[in-house]
Amino acid sequence: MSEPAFPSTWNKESKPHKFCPGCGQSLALKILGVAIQELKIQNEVLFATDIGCSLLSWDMFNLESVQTHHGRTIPLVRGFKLARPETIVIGFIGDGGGYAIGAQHLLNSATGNDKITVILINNANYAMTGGQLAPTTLLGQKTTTTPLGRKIVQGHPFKGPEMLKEVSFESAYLARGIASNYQELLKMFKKALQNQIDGRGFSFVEVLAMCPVNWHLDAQESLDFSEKEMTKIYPLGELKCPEKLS
Amino acid sequence: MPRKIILAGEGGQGIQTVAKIIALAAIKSGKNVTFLPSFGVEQRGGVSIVFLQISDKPILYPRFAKANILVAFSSRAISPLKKFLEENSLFIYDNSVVENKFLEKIKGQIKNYLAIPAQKIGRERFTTKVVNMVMLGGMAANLKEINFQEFENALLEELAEKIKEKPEIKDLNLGAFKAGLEEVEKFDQETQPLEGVAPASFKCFFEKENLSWERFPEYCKGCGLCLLKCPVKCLSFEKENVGFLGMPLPTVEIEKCLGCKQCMEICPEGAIRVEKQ
Amino acid sequence: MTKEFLMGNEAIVRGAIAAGAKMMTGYPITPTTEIMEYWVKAGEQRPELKFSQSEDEMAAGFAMLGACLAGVKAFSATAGPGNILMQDAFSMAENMRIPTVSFINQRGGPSTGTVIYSQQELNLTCFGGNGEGLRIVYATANVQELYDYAIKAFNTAWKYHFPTFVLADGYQGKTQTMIEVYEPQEKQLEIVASQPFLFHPQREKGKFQHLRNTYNQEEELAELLENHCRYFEEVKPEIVEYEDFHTLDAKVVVFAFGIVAAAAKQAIENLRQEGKKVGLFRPITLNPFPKESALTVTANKKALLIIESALGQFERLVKANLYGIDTKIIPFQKPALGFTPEEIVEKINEILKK
Repeated sequence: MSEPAFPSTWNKESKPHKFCPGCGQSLALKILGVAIQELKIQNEVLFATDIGCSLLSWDMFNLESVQTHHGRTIPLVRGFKLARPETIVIGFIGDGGGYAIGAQHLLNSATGNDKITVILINNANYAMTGGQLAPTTLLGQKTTTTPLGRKIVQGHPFKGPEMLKEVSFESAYLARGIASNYQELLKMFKKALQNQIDGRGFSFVEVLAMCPVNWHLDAQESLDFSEKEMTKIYPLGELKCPEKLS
Repeated sequence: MPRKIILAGEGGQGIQTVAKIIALAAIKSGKNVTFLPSFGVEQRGGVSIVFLQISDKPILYPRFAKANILVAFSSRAISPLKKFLEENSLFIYDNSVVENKFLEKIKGQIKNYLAIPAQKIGRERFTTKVVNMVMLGGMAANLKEINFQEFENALLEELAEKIKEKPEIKDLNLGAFKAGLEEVEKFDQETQPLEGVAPASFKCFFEKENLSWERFPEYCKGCGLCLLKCPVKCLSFEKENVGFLGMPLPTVEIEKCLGCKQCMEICPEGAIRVEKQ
Repeated sequence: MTKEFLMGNEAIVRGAIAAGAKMMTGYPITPTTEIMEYWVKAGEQRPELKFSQSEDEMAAGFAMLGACLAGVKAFSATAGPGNILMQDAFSMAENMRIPTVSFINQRGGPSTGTVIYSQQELNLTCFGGNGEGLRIVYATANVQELYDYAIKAFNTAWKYHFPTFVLADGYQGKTQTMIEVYEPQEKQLEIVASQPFLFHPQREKGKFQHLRNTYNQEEELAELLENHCRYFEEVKPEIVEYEDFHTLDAKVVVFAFGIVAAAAKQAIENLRQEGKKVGLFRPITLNPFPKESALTVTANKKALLIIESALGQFERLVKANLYGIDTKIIPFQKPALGFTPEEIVEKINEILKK
C-alpha cells in the first residue's frame, strides 16, 4: 500500500478536497502542484485565491497561502511581490474574478508587466453560486440567469488571453490550456512560472475546465463540452511566448 | 405537536430535495411549514443541513435548538447533528453508509432509531442518484399526519422538469421511495442494534509483470473520468465496493492495462497510482 | 529636532518615514494627492521607499494588504469616494487583523460632494465595511498632529494588529505652517518592528500558513470575532486618547473632534478670558472612544454642546457612549461646512443665557 498520487506540494490533511466529482478546476490544481514540485520552488511560492470555487483551494497546498476578496487577488499579490520580490506569486482566480469584477486589475497588471503568474479557470459559468452567466458563457449556453440560453445582447464570450495579447509586453507569457490535457497544461504552467522566476514578465494561463455539476452533464458530456465546444470559441495554445522560454 | 426535523449529509446527496418534498406534502395536508437550508460554500461535498418544521400553528422562527426527528445521510453528518438530540428524538440513518466509528460518538444518547440501508438499495436495485428517495420513504412512514398520497404528488411535482427530460427517472424515484417505506415495515429496533458499516477492506492493489495499478477509495468520488480516458477500456465501476461519499469505485482488468497512466493523469483526486518499470 | 514650514500632507509623509514606513499604495484623490507626490519625491533620495500607483482604490487597498502580509510597513491615503472603495480592503484587514495604516482627509459627501472639507467620513472610517468597527481611528486637529500621529499610527497598527487610521480633513491636509519635526528617538519613542505574516523567517520547515477570511459555519466566524473583540477590549485602556480642556468647573462642555475641536478650543479660550465657565472634551481616538473619561465630564453640567461638520455622525457616537446620563445635549451641526471660533462663541453664549 503506497501513497495516493498526490503532488508532493499537496496538503494531505485537506484531502479529499472540497471540489465536486469530475471538476476540471481541481484537476488543474493537481497539475499546478506537479509544476511547482518539478520546478522545486515550493518554499518560495505564495498561492493566493479569489472568491468562487477557487477559494475551496485555500488549504489545498503545502504552500504559503492567502484567500482574498473577489477580484482583488491580483492587486494583493502585486503588493506582496513589491514588498518581497523574491517570492513567486500565483494568483489563482476564476472567470468572474478575472474577467468581470477584477478585470481592471488583470488589464493593468498586464499593461504594467507585473512579474506575477495568474492562472484563470474558465468553466463558462459562475459555479460556486450555482451556475450563473459568466463573461465566458457561450452563446446559447443555458445558465440560471440565462435560462433560455445566452443571447448576443448579453455580450459575446470574453476572450481574455486574446485581449491580454494586445496590451501586454513582448516579455509576457500568455497561454490557454485545458484541464483534460495533463502534459500540455503542465508545460504551460511551468513556462508561466519560469517567466516569473527569470524576472522576465507577466504570465497568464487560462484553463478550460469541466464543470459537470453546473453544466448538468455527465463525465463524458462535460469532457466533450470542454474539449469540443469550448475550444471552438477559445482556441488552445500559446498566444505569446518569449524566445528564452520556448 | 410540532415536528422539528433536521436532515444532514453531504452536499449533492439530494437532502434539500427530500426536505422540499416533505414540506410540499405537509402544506397540501393543511400544515404550516418552514424550511431553512444551512450550507457551506461548496456546491458538493460540504455539510448540507436542513431545518424543517411542520405544525398546525404558525411557525415564527425557522431554526430550533432540539429536534424530534434527526436524519443522517452520511458519516460526516453525525457531528453537526449531535447537539440537536434530545431524549426522545427519533434518529434515522443510512446504515449502509454511516461508519461505526462515527456512530460511537452518539450511540449513548439515542433511545429511538431507524436504520435504512439506502445506499445499498439504491446501488443494487435502482441507481445511486435516488438514494435520497429511499431515505424519504423512511421519513414518510414516521410522518403519519401527512397524507401518504401527498408525498407521491409532491415528489412528482418537485421532479417534474427532470422527469420531462428523462421520463425513465419517474419510476426510479417512486420505486426508491416505496423501497424506503418497505424497509420501515421490516425494521425492528428490538432486534437490530444501532450499527453502521465497518470501514471496508478490499483489494486496491493490482499488479502484473512490471506494472501496478492502485486505487485509493478514501479519495475517489466516482466521477468516471478515468473510465473515459482509458485507451483500452480496461476500467469499469464495481457493483460492490464504494469510494468516498459512497460513490461507485473503478476497478481494473489488469491483464489489459498498458500502464499508459492516462487514468492517473486525469484523476482530479489523485486516487489512482500507476507504476511501470 | 527642527522647525519646518510644511503642508499637512507633507507632514504625513515625513511622519510615516520617521515611523519606518517603506511602501505607499494609492490612487490620486483630492485632498490627499500631495501625500503620494511627496512620497515619490522622498523616494528619489531613498530607494528603499516603494510606491505603487494603483488603477483604483480597491487595488491600492489590497496591494497595501499584500505588503503588510509580507511584513512591510505599508500605507495608503484616500478620501470620500476613494474611502468607500477602500472599505473592501479594510474589512479584510479587520477580519484577518492586518495592520494597515490609512490617512483619510475628509471631504464633502455623500458621493463626489466637494473636494475640500467635511467631518462626514466618521461612520465610514470607524464603522465602514461589513464588520464591527474593530479599528483604531485617530482624529487629528492640526498639522503638528498629522506628523505626531503618523508616527503613532504605525506603532499602534503593528503592536495591536487592527487596521489603523488617521482621520483628518482637507483643511488640515492643505494648511501650511511651522511644525516641529523630530526623530522618534529624540522623544524616547520606540518604533514597533513589523513582522511578516507569511514566509516568517522563523517558520517551521514543512509547515505552511493558510490564511483565509471565509468560514463555512456560523459558529466558526462567531468564535473568531469574539476573540478579536475580547482583545480589543483588553487593550483599549492602552490606546484611548482624549484632550480635556477646562471641563472641571465648566457649565457648558463642548464635545468636538478634529479641526472643529481646534476652533472650539480657541472659542473657549476667548470665553474663559471673559470669565465664562466653559470647557472642551475632545476625543482623539474616535475608535476606541474614550467613554469612561467622557462620562466623568458630564456630571453637573448645564449642557453638552456637540459640534460637527456633518449631520449627526459624531452626535450618535457620543450619545451611544454617554448612554444613561441626564445632562442636556445640544447638537450644533453643519454638513461639510467649517465652524469659526466666533460662531462657536456665539452659540455657547446663547446657551449660557438660557
